[in-house]
Amino acid sequence: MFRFVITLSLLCFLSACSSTRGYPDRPDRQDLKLQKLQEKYFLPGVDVLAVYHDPVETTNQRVYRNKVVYGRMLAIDMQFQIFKQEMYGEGVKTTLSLDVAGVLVGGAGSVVTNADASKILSALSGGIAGTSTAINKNLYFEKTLPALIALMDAERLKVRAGIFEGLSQDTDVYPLGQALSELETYLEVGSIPGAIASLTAVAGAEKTEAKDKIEAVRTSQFVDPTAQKRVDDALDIIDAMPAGNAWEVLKAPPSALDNFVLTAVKARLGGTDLSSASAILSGAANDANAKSILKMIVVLIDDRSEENLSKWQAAIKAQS
Amino acid sequence: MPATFDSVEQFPTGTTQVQMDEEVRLRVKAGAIKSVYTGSEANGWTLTTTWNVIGEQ
Repeated sequence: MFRFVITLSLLCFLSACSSTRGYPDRPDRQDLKLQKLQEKYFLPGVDVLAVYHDPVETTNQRVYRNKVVYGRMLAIDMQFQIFKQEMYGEGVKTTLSLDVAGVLVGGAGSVVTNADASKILSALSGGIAGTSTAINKNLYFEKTLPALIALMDAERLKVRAGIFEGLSQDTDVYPLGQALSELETYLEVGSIPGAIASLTAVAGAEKTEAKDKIEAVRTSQFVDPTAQKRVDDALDIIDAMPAGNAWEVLKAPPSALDNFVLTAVKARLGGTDLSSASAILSGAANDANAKSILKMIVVLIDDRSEENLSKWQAAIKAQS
Repeated sequence: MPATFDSVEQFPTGTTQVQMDEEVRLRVKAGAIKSVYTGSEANGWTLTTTWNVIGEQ
């Protein structure tokens, strides 16, 4: 019983202490602010591009563009701050709660047969010494996480600088669509996969130089709004396809793929031709990859004539 | 082997910014990492899209 009380007290102390999260409690309600920003700038019903292009609703595109971008950027910043705090909190809590608890339970266990205060202190002291071993076990976490976060911060600053530079220009040079795309990059570099990608880029400077560039020339037919709508609809259908069926369309395309698409698919598959990609695209286990390739093809295929897109839609629907 | 690659598409004069925005949206919806255009309706546009290489990070 005595051991239980000591252990419980210490764990309560650890879980209640702000220092286990690495950050003090904020005096303001970040969650409420974030919710307001999300409602204003991110909900599916908020089509900022439509408002931006509506001459009635938006008399000054530059002002509207900047308002949207600053609003979204603030929301992304707040979310990133929460993400950082959670990462630190999870890591520190996991380290301290599990390792320290384990050591302290053992330490307290040694005094349960004797309630003498000096022995309690001795056991706790032994517990503290024991934690150094536990902390060493988490060296990987301690060294890696700050490095990743520092990298995220640095990459975010770079993208942020580019966005700010864009916002200082007129909308014909830096339209809202471009700003939104760069905000996506801003979000991406503030993630662990984004940071790892940045790390890879730093480790291999040749990566940038080795970037393949694949080029195509489009016609006015390609950007016809009706064709764009057909492509958009096809993407929705692909997303809803049963697992494993996207490969069925890919292995027998309803029309020939143009060279641009074939080259892009090969690049996407790391140098593997679509016809040889069964191992990485077939079956339910590879469904995400197959859908990703199929969606890219539907968007990039040069022949967006009604006849050709109908063939693709029919083939996709047949597998849905 | 690069972990990403860029596709570059040239769009003709007369293509509106709204149409370009839609092309960007479609590529991002299809899984592109990012898609950015430069140019104008009068001079035509260049759309550069970055894609990840499947299986690599």
